[in-house]
Amino acid sequence: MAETIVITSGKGGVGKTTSVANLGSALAMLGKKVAMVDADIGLRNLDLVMGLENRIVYDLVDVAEGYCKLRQALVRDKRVDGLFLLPAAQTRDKTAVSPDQMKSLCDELKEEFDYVLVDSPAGIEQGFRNAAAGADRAIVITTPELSAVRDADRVIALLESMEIYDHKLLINRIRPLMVKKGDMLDIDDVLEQLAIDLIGVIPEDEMIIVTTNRGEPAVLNNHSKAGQAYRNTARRIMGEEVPFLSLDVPEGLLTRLKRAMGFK
Amino acid sequence: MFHSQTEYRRRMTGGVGFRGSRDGLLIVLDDTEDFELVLEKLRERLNEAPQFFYGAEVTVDVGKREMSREDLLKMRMILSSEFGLRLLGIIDDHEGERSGGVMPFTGGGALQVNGGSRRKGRKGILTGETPNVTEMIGSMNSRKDEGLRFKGKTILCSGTCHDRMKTEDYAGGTTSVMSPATESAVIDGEDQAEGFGITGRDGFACERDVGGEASEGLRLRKGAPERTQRRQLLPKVEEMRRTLLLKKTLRSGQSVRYNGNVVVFGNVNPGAEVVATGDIIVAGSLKGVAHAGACGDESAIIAAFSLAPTQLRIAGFLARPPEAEVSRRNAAPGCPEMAKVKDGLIVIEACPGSFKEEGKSVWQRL
Repeated sequence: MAETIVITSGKGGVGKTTSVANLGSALAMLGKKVAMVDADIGLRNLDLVMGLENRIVYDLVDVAEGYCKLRQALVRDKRVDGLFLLPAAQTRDKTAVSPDQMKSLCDELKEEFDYVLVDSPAGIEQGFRNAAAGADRAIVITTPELSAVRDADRVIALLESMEIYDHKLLINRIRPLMVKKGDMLDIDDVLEQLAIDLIGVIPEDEMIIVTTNRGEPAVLNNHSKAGQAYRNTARRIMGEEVPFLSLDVPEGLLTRLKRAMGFK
Repeated sequence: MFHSQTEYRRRMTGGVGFRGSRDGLLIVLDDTEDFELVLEKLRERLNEAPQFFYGAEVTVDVGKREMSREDLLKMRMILSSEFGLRLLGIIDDHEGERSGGVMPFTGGGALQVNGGSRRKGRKGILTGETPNVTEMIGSMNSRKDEGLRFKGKTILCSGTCHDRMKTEDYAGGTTSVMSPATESAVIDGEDQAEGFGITGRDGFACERDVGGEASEGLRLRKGAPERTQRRQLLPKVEEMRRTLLLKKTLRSGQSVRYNGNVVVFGNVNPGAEVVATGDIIVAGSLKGVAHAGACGDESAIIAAFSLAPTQLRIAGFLARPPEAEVSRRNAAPGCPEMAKVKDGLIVIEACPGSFKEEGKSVWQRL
């Protein structure tokens, strides 16, 4: 049963595009057929993050306007089988596509793919509405910051007004050390405010920056902690029960020494 | 989209009708009333909401009316000068005269090329309907058209061109639209550039000759015979090519489409796009997408001081840099290079006269 999942956040810069790239790759690595749709028309990024920029010939607007077939516009990923990208147009803006067009496009993709992941633009205007138009489910991304949580709250309300009730929360860029010190909102704070189910917690990871700049998703890298978290999230999307990664801060040598000597 | 235009024209009140279309606003003018009256009505209607119309992009459908140069100027005055609308093109509907420059598309749309010979004084109006969308596959549409101001003369281009056009039709259209061939247009400021087709499109036929899925690497397997056939679409294009000189840097999201050669004095940044029916020369670094010979001219070249594009397209050939060379996008060679088609492949060579040692690289087909 195919599903369209919109990845959205309201606030910009919380990691929507990175999450789409990683979740898409992870789902495809788990053997699913995945289409990633970049709905951020005019400011396309997903192709860059995936390292597929130079393979784009047609884009989403070309498909919506009927200049090419959907399958012509889909760019096959160079690393993972069963992973495809429908790039956004760079020279147009969000008004170039209507929610109805997006919906029929997602429906068409659903016939061929197991999962259709839609990368939503930041904001709550037409771009967001387009992205959410064809969605069966939503993943709302937030970072443990008050502003991001506030925006996520607003987006959840908007999703419900669009009759998307199956929404899950993905908390991104959490820093266990700072949470432990009490300098950062912890997962419970966020959940308390938003009151929706959690689907994943992604720790802050420098590898993400490295892999993004190289144009390859972090899930392909076994050493990346964020990559591991994304792989787990992907399995939860598929309905598996996966325990959340332990975010305990590894104890330093000194602490362990102190404990051994009975000082603590 | 325009099938019911005639009925619509009959039904509309006051001789002026407005319709929204994909390419902006369509103004339908009554073609039976006296033109002066129609223009007066038009002015009245626009006056109802001048704020709304200001800056809007409009196409005018004049129906079966024969427009004289004066009529055209008057209408332009009202639209552009009085109300600040941007006239994208003019559509007319001369069914009786289709023998000359008009042929229906297989897809149900129609492209009209009204040659300058029949209407003296006008440089030519290229108008067209948007063909049935499903028939547009494999061809590229000029999505947005600009009224072109060309050394004081008005050239209006509108509509779409289709790759299935017959040779003579398009050639005829080109003659009227493209002349005078010897002149070159120079653009050096944002404002002027606005009127010329930056981010807008010239009304030329171009095609991306790609068969199959993009994802499958866009092999050019659709076959060479088709391509050679298409090449003959524009037999005379070489002789009548204009050149657009752009003195600015094209940034991400900007696109230039031009029927002729394009010379950019500046950079073409990643995410920007230059499409030309002729050659493309970038006096700067080319990092975006360039499509030369967009109407099928395989002899077109793309040259740049620093050639490091995201993707190159010449006629129906598409190529991207080899993976190993992607890194050179950041460190492009310090000498001008040129891309052209050789034996069905896009090949990069040093520009004639540059200091680079001999040697060329073949780029991967998409």
